[in-house]
Amino acid sequence: MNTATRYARHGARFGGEGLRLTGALSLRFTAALGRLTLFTGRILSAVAPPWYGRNFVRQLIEIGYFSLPVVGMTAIFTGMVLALQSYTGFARFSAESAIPNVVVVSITRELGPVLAGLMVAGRVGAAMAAEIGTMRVTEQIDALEALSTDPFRYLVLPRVLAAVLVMPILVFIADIIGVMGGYFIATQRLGFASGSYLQNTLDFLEFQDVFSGLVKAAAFGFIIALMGCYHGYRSRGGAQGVGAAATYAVVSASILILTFNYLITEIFFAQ
Amino acid sequence: MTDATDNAPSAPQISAEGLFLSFGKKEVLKNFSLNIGRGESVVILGRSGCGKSVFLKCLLGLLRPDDGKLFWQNRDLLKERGAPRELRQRIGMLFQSSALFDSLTVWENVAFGLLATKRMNRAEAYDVAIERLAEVELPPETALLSPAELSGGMKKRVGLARAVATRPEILLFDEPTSGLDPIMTRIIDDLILGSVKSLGATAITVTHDMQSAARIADRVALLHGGSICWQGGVDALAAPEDAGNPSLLQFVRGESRGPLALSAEKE
Ligand SMILES: Nc1ncnc2c1ncn2[C@@H]1O[C@H](COP(=O)(O)OP(=O)(O)OP(=O)(O)O)[C@@H](O)[C@H]1O
Ligand SMILES: [Mg+2]
Repeated sequence: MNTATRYARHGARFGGEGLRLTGALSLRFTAALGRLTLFTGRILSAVAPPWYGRNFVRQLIEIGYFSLPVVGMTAIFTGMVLALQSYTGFARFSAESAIPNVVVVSITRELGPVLAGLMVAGRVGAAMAAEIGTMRVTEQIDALEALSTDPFRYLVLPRVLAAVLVMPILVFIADIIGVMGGYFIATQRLGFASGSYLQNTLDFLEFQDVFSGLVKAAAFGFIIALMGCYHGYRSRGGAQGVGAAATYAVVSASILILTFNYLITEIFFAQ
Repeated sequence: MTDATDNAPSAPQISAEGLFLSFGKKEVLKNFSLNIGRGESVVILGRSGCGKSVFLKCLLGLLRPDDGKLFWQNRDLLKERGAPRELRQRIGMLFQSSALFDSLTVWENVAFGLLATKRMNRAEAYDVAIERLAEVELPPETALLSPAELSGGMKKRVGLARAVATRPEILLFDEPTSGLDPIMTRIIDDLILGSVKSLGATAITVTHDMQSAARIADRVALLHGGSICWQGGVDALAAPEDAGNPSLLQFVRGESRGPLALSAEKE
């Protein structure tokens, strides 16, 4: 931070407040990126025995099983509203028959992974940051190290692995529930025939649609756990610091999810 | 200070030479030097906030001094890679805040080191944990409680049981008896004494309790202004006027005026 202010003063001499602020911010950003890279490096180097299977399973349940209601509710209402809205739009140029296709493609490629990602970021990212942050400020992380246990191996790695593994499963379930939400509205409200709606859905769906969504889900799982652990691990100064860490974890994970959603879409689009 | 090795009967097990450590502008350790022999029980005294806990954390490698030397059996802890980890495996530490893992039960806390480093299975570790809990007068029923269900003094005792669980060579106790009643204090003192006298451990204890210090210490060191300003045999606590050190006299008598008060006001 010292260097940041020093360079920022330089900036002030040459270009005034604006440049000074830009300089300080970009240095701060670079520093954060550097810390994050180091943190990720420590996670990767923790991929070695001893394995803490108990912690891993606990996280699988925490992240996967307990997120099911939230993710399921999000998916079903999204599928339902999607069917209604696209009907409104498509009816204007008599393209109602495209509704099954629009619903399934939007859900599997975009809405399933992104909305599940954001919901899990809110639920799990905050909890991870708060738990690890509390362990930091109450010296439990110090105690782990004192007992010859690598906190990255014991705390961080199980969370990251569990999130990366379980997010695609969650999203796959969300895909199915979301499509069923659309199906429900289409058949009950919009007068579609049940058999042909499902047939249309399956005929139109490509492997790539689902696959790209699941790749996104795994990436989002990594982002959520990384942000939760990173901000928790760095938290300082009691309850207030832990609260701030939880907020940072959710906000940064959400923004990164939206950013990487675009980037991954771009990669699949280019192929 | 470096020639202290020559005075000691055997080479010290742990030796700090001219440690410096600061947090931002705040200098906590300033030219801190202390030797601790094998099987010795040293009590570190000092005013609140003077850096006692910080020194213990330096030994554990949780904090890294900015400058100075730290040796363990003539191995340089600040230079030699791997030495801090080896040392850690031989240290049992009681944190001032107990620092129990609140996602684990009491017995899992106590058995943590046994499961992590001694490769015991859970059933064996459970039995040992129950034994260690009995040493700090906690009944087996407490084993399945979670730390949130314990009183402050019980937490401290669980922390103590966890610190001694693996029978480490070196024991660091950060205020082991704060928050305990006089009877319990006596029991804990005896536990510390027992670890040193019958199991041959080296103990470094931070305490504010003079009676307890007098009971468990072989040697006492007074930390002030970032370094040890006085050290000597435990007898000095009983007759501080004979030690000829005004700081010690003030500290033991608990007087508000004296050399220790002065620099504390400067802060
Ligand atoms: N992580 C930290 N960040 C910033 N300052 C710290 C940190 N840890 C300790 N300090 C500062 O270092 C000084 C020494 O702290 P330390 O915990 O060692 O005191 P102590 O001697 O153990 O006191 P007490 O008897 O009250 O426990 C204090 O002034 C404290 O403000
Ligand atoms: Mg302390």
